[in-house]
Formats: sequence, structure tokens, C-alpha cells
Amino acid sequence: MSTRSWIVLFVLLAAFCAVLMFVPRTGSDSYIAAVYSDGELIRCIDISAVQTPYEFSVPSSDGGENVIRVENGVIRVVYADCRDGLCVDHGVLSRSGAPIICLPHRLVIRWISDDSGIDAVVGG
Amino acid sequence: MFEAKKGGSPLKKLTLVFAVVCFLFSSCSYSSPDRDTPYSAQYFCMDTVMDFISVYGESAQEATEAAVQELERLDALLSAQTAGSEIYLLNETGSAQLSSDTLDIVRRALSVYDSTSGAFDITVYPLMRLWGFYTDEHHVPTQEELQNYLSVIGSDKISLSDDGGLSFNVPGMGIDLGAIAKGYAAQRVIDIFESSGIESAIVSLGGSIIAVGTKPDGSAWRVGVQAPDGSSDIIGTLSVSDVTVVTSGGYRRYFEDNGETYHHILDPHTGVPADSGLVSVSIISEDPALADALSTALFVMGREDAEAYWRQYGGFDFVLICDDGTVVATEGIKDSFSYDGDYEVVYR
Repeated sequence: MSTRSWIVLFVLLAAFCAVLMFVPRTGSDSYIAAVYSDGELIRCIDISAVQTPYEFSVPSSDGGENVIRVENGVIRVVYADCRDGLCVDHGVLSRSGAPIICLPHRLVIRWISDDSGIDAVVGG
Repeated sequence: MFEAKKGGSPLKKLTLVFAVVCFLFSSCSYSSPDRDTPYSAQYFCMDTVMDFISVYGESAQEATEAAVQELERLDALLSAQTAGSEIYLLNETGSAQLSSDTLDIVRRALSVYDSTSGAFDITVYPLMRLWGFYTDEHHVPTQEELQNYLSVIGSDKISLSDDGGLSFNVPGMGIDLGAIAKGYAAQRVIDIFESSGIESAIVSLGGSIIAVGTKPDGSAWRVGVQAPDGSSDIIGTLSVSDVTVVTSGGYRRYFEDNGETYHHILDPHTGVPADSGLVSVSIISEDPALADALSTALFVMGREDAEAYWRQYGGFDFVLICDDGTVVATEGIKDSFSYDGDYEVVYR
């Protein structure tokens, strides 16, 4: 193969790799967290794409609320007026860990796409 | 000329090869969403979250909805806290004619009670009420209270006739099927999925995992085992198919009083939270009701008795986490249990 052919091959491969790196991905390479309220999916958040931290409130059917804070790579419940506060105590949603659950307010936050390869978490 | 047309120039060949590689790569990266996108849904039932994480198949939604209907039916039947349920009425009156479902579960529970020498006991209901675990109005009992309540504990004080007539031999008794009902319900979900042609699914019934078949690509489901330190981290993973995985630990339901922590898994022999040296017990079995009941029983029994029980009865595997951090797993899962550290393997 001539030198010119090698150069063309190199340029083509470099361009191909650049496309793979910069085109937005879907699937297992995204860190997408889903927020469910009473079984209904209310938000899907690409945690890895969050530039500016923000908070939002999720009202529950019993008149209560959970306040969720989202930062780059991090999602957690920072306030809840539920009876046990376990959702706040849970802390951040670990990359491969158990979902955040607020049973009194029927709120669940879990990954629907991450890079851990974990399909479910068993806990007692 | 002829040769050049036949083989093409090196540059043309290179471009062609590159194009083919790109095409193949693209084809492999994106697959039909109809075939590979699972159905997913969440419901609240049995005082916990029923998370149908991924259900594959054309009838996934219908099968899931049928499973949820069955879970709700069982919850209405079996809950000790729901006024009007079969168990609620039994506990109120001290006797009942059991329906076939309740009779099945009670028989399984009594069988595990016998085989575990009382480490698993559905008659802990009065003790659970005394400690306030049902209402979250927690109370640390006095020794006198414990002695009084222990007199009504013991499945050997239950009379059960062949036709399902159940009565308590001692006034004040009551039963709670919570430590086996989810496992029984899991079997119903598996049965419904099977009859609906669902061959691939993973479901969490309040943290108990049902792994139906394998993933659509034929690989095993990967189930993380939650760390017992109260965090949401995992300590290891199990690669499983066609089994149920159930964990019991004291790190989810507990309360603190005067600097002491009291978890909800009571030792039926002492009436206080089990202190066997184990902080987490995971059971892996094709029998969900057995897995559910044994996760509680082995937590109460401790490591030594758990290993002896496994050797005697089999039919399941386990992962134990001891309070000194030691991790122990049975030989049946040593190839499917991934743990970032050393763990001890128990052999027959």
C-alpha cells in the first residue's frame, strides 16, 4: 500500500473516532435517572449532562412533598415531610446501588441507564 | 487495465473496506427497539414497591398487569394490618377457616418453623406489635413485658386441621405472614409470566429479586447485593437466571432509642432483635417462598447453624455477611458471585 493510502486510511479512521466521541450517545453510556411518583414516570434526567445544579419539588397524593436536588452526576432527595425520612437518609443515588425509595410518598428514583451493568439490587 | 478493474486501486479497496466496517459497526450498535425494549412499571402493594424493572416479550404489559392484580389480591387476603383481611380476622377472633392460598402459605411456614427449630415463626405478630414495628410508634419492652408476650409465641401452639381450620391454642396469639408472603407472591408472578410466554424478565418485589430466564442476549441477570451499612452501595454481584434472590438484614427497618439500635427481625426465642453475628443474609433459590422464609430464619440462626442447615437440607445457596465484615458463600454460587475481596466458600 502506498504512503498516500496509509495517510488516507489514518485520516478516515481519525474522523470516524471523532464522530463516535462527540455524537451524543444513547443506551448504556448515558447516566439517566428516572423519577417515579405513585408508579408514574414523571421525569427522566440525564445526570451526566447536568451543567447547573437545580432542585424541584414532587408533591405526593397525601399532600406532602419531596424535594430533589440534581447536580452533575448526582441526584438525591434533600427534603421530605414524610414520616420516616429514609429517602433523605439514603443520600445520593449510587451508580450501581439500590434505588431511592420514599414509601410514605410513593416516590422512587432509580437508574434506567448507567454503566454499572447491574440489573437489580437485592436488599433486606 | 483489466487487472486494475478486477482488483481496484489500493485506495479504492481501502475505502470499500472502511465503508463495510462502518456499516457493520452501525448495524451492531443499533437494534430494533420493538424487540429489545422491555416493558417497565411500578406499583405499590404489600406496603412496598413492586418494581417490574424489565419485562421482555409481546405480552409483557398484559402479563405484568395480571401479575399486579394477583399481588393486590394476595395483599388483601394476607395482610395482618388490613382490616377485613383473612389474617386480620384470624388474629381478631383466634380461629378461622383458611382459604386455599392462606392454607398453602401457613403450611409452608409451619414446615420451615419445624426445620429451623423455631428460628422462623409466623407467631411473632404480638411481639412485632409490642415493639411498635407496625405503627412506627416504637417501644423498647421491659423484661416483664417480654416474658408475658413470649408465652404466646410459638407455631407449636397452632392447631391446623386437614381441611384448613386454624385455631390458636393460647389466647392473645396472632400470626404475620410478612416474612414468607412476598416469596409466595413471587411464585405467582413467575407462574403468570410462564403462562403468558414471558421468558425474560427481572422484577423487584420490595427488594426481593425475581430473575426469569436470562437477558434476551442469553447472558445472566446481574443482581447487586446491597451493603449492610445503611448506604445504597453494593458489596458484590450475583449472576443468576431462573431464581429468586431474597435478602434479610436489619439495616432498612430499625429505630434508635437511648443510643441503641433495634432492628425489626426478632428472635422468636428471646423476643428481642436477633443478634446472631450476621448483618445480611441473601438466599438464592428456585423456590421463592423458601428463599423468603430462610432469609429470615438464617439471619436469626447465625453462621454456624446456617451452614449446618444448608448441608442438611440444601435446595438453596446463600451469601452471608457477618458483623466483622466476613463474607461467606456456598459452593453452588462461587462461580456466579463476584465480590471485590476475599470471601469464604462453604462446601458440603
